[in-house]
Amino acid sequence: MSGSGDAVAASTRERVIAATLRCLAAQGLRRTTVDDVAVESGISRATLYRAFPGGRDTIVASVVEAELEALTATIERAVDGASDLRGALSSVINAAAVWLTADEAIATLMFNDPAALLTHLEFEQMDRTLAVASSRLAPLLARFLDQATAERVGEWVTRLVVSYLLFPSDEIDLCDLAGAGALVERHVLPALAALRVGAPG
Amino acid sequence: MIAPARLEVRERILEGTSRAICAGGVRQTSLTEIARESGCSRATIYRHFPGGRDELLDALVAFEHRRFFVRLGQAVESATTLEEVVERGLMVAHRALLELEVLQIVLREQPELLEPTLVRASQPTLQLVADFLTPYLAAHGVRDEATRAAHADYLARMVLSYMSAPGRFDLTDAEQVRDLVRCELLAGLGAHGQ
Repeated sequence: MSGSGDAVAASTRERVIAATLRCLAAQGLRRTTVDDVAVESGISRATLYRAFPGGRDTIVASVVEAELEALTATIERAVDGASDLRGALSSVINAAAVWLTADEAIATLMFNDPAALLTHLEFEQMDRTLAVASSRLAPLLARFLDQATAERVGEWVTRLVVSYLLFPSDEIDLCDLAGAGALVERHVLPALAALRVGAPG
Repeated sequence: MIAPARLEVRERILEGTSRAICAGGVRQTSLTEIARESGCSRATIYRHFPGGRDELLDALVAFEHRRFFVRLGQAVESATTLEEVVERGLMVAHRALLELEVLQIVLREQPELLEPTLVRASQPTLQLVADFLTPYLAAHGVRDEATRAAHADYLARMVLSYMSAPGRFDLTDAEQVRDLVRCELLAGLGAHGQ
């Protein structure tokens, strides 16, 4: 395919993903059909199926992938200015919580269609979610932690964010940087100190 | 209050529903199938669950959820220390969840059935686990009530997270569970974790 063909394909992809996110925000996952996405994006069904050969499942998987990229980019920006581990962990947790709470598609899913989210946040699927999150977070923490600890902490931080998303707390608001900092101070840093004491070297 | 005999029939119907789902999946499970498995007539089932199959499936998830936590409580109640209760709780809960075939089937086939119990009632589940852990935290030396509540909440969140998705840990391995509980969970209570 020529370079300009790639550009057209990429812009079709982007339009479809943006349109699907609008559909998800408006009506949740269960009620969103390929036809809805076609109407919302102004792209014909035929073109849509050419760009996403598996149809609805492929579109949804691409949306999840795009959301993950956006979330990772947000976290990367937030952690960039951190000067110590406490600051880095607080920024990661806070940025993830703010992004997840502000995302309209996720908000609608939480309210109308929680099973769609639940299937990613329980059992083997959650193990997969944790593995992906941990592998993305570890490099961001590499300035402050060795590789193995960074992966372990990446998974742990993901559990915390998911837990507070599923069970919001009256005491700790992770969307507030000070709230995220308090959580890190109270629970994560003491445990990390214990990990280091136990670790060789 | 519901009379004991009435409760017994209700449970028999729910247990029959669970067996029918394990045998044939959620979609294939009809009221006739449930009547056969539970040894009750369709009329009896409708008397206990006027909403029919839909009401029965909702009630089943709530029933299995409650039974799971009652049994978990029984399995760990002889533990004397915080470490012991969390270690044993994680191992028992993880194994029991994997063995709870009906839950796995519902999750695979019709996860939306879990919504009323696992999502809308998730806050009470967190509170239930936190309340269970609170006396162990007191025995662990956490005297201040507010600190105890905060620690119980944190531990309950972590326990619920790990028991359904163990991530990098093998929760059938006692050594790994000990490492997890000491390093990540109890050490996460700061000075009180030691």
